[in-house]
Amino acid sequence: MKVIGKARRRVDGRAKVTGQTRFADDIVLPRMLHMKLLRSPHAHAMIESIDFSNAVSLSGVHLVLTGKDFPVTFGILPVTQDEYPLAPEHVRYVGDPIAAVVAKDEQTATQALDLIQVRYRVLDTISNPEEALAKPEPRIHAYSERGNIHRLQAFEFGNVEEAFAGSDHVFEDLFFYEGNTHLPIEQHAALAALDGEGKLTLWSSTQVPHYVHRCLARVLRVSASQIRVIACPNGGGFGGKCDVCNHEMVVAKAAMLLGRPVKICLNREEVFYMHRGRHPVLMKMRTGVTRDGKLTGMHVQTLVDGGGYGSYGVASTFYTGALQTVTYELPRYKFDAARVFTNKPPCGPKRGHGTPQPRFGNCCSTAAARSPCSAALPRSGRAPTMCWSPWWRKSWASIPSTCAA
Amino acid sequence: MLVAVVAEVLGVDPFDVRCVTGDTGITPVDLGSYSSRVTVMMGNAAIQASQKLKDLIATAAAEQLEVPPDRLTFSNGKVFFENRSLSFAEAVGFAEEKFGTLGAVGSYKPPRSPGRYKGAGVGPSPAYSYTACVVEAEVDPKTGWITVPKIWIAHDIGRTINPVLARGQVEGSVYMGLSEALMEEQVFRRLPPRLSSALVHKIPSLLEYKSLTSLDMPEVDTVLIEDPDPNCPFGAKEAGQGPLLPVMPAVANAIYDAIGVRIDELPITPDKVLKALEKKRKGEEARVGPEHFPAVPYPEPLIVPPPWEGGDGKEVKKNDAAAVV
Amino acid sequence: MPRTLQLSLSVNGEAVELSCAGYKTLLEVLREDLGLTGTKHGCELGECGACAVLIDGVPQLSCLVLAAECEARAVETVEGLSRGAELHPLQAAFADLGAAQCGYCTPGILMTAKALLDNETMPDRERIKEAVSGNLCRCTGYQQIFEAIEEAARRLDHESHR
Repeated sequence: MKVIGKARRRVDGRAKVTGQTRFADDIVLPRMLHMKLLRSPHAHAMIESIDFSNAVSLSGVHLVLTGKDFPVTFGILPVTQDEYPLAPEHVRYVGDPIAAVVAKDEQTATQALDLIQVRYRVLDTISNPEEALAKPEPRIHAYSERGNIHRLQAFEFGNVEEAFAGSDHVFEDLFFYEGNTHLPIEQHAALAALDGEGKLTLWSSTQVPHYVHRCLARVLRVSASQIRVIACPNGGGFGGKCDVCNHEMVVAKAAMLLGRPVKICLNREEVFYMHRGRHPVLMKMRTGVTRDGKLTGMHVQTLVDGGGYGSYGVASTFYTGALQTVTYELPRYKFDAARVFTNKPPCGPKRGHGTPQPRFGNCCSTAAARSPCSAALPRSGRAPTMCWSPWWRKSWASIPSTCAA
Repeated sequence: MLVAVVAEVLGVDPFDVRCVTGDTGITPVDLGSYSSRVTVMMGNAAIQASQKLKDLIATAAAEQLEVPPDRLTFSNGKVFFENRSLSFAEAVGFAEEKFGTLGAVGSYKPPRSPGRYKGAGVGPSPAYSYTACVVEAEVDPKTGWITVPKIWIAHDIGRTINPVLARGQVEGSVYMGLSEALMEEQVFRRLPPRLSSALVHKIPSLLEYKSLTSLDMPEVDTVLIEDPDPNCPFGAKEAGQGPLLPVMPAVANAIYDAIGVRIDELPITPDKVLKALEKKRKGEEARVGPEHFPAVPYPEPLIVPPPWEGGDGKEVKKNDAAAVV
Repeated sequence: MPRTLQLSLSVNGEAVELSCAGYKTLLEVLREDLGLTGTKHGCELGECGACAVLIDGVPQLSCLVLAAECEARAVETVEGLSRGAELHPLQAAFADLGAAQCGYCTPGILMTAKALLDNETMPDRERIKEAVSGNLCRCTGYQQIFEAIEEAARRLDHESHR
């Protein structure tokens, strides 16, 4: 082959090293205005009133929007359309956007945020999964399966208790994988403008332009044919730019109302609060083995901290169990999962998406540590038995892992 | 990747290919860039589209060169058989004359997963990548400080489309995995009551939220293993996520190998190492991690007998399950 | 501080006269007043190095430098690196050896690396690591960046001996 397999300069290499690559915040349009979001300072509250009269009358401010301007919800999964572009009443984490100011520059927009007066009725905060399990009220989302438990999943592939009963050993391990975030060096940014035909164009640092397009059509109640979404090169995504974002919906609406380009760029602190990163997962794994190192069965239980909204979380939760059998000769497998809502920035997909957490557990479990193995790269069909860390003087450990392509 | 695939099929120089991506006004619908799907899905679609074009061009070129179309080779910007050749541009010209404006569309849909139960769609894939990782770790038992001087990573990528870029993805995954293993945490605290007691992010800045700098990054030895997968474009699978997964457990297992303690939670920080060493000194189980798992009201499971127990991918009711076994 | 100030400085070797708000940082002036969007922002706090430029040959975080401090100084940004239409050896090495993936941290690292190679001919790996330790990269894992800087050092050294 002439091209495949050859080292070549990447096609956008030259643009990247000359500073010519146009990231979303690099785009400037004539008469462009700037938007800033007002975010909830409370982790859990109801908005009782918003008075933005002082903000809108500040010189240089063109528009203030609130939740009243956005009656339609959205969400990346069909089963969790639980987000408003701006929360009309219920705020679910510190950082949940509730209002937007559009002004001649960022400085003015930021000053105007301070002039918006919001009265909140503060609710009890659900800080972690244990509290979410213990306290069904105050309910973070009305649609959750039970109290503040967003979703429960349970599968059994072969009778695992029976397998355990026939094992020489059953090991039980607990693991915890703390949440973390994508930390792209480029903060999220989006620019919306009406073109010469009055149709909406949105430039955004997004990994999912077609999802954004469909979402804009529904949320703004505009025909999809009147919208164009351009995914700018991402300055790092890793899954953090896979959700349709509040600011994308709001900046688009602002541009449509004002007939002028409107841009928003999140600051770093906002990116931490936007999040959609790795779910914290608590895991309990029981593994049955025979004396000669064969697996008889595995039972994995996960408790997943979802934060304030659904995002990809239902899928993420399936992933905390779905791939755990691959690379192992495992006759029987049982998997239970629960995703809970908490009053924190919503968790979503981050590189690996729900699989690094249980894979960490799998590969560090007592069974893994003690079982002998034959380390062979799996061919299609046959997987090797579990691998262990060899008893070497230097500290080495080898772990097979898988990722669905 | 798309440019490489198209250039390979049509036998042209990649720098003669212009690529437009991610514009819903022009580019066809796709789900997005995530989930390690772009190479397989977009790559396969690009091959399909290029192949259709190639067939049209070959038909016209074959007539010109008086050669059966299936004997033609597309390579080095030429379309030829033995000493009869046209430049690619000439061949395109003849094809346009014959067929009008040339354009082709390709698409890809993954094969249906064999599981037929609710939730079966999450996880299965037409291909799987595999990664093995070896971590060398040093632990200072006085401070708990962990240093990782070297990591070896072997990734079954299927086929490497561009070794420079593939290596970049693998090393980037190792970097992120190590960063998660040792220092990254999205953690929260309560503001004091005299403020609002609000639950806020503890460290929302790039200095305080720790990530590896150039000084922290170990030497990484990358091996790309090529075992082309028939379901994938030129056999190429993925590189963006798989190599991240083994790093964290390898670090934990390396620490166990070094000082005999198990840290069962991430990130693995010096304070946890010291706590585990203290337990070891006292003769307790040298493990630091979660102490208990709460009672969760998990529901009755969906029962799906595995194929080797007679299952066909469908859910069975509890009573029937007993009958199948 | 006056509401607007008049500045005379050199940017990428060209004399520039501009007037801007007194509170603006060099980063803001470069990106917003001069249209030089190659230099990036990543954190607003001087923690990531994406905004690194050279001021009188020294790498500085332009998000922490007031434009006012740059009167009569020589500022160099990534846009000034190439030699006409030809890439600087650093740029070519970065593009060829995988040192730029998403490309967002790239301008900051290129300028930092330029300062290093302007002052030291063949820095060793440890020196390179130290020089770019103030630049965060989330994509590459740094190794290909080190290799690109080493390659550029070789090419520059070769050029200077011709």
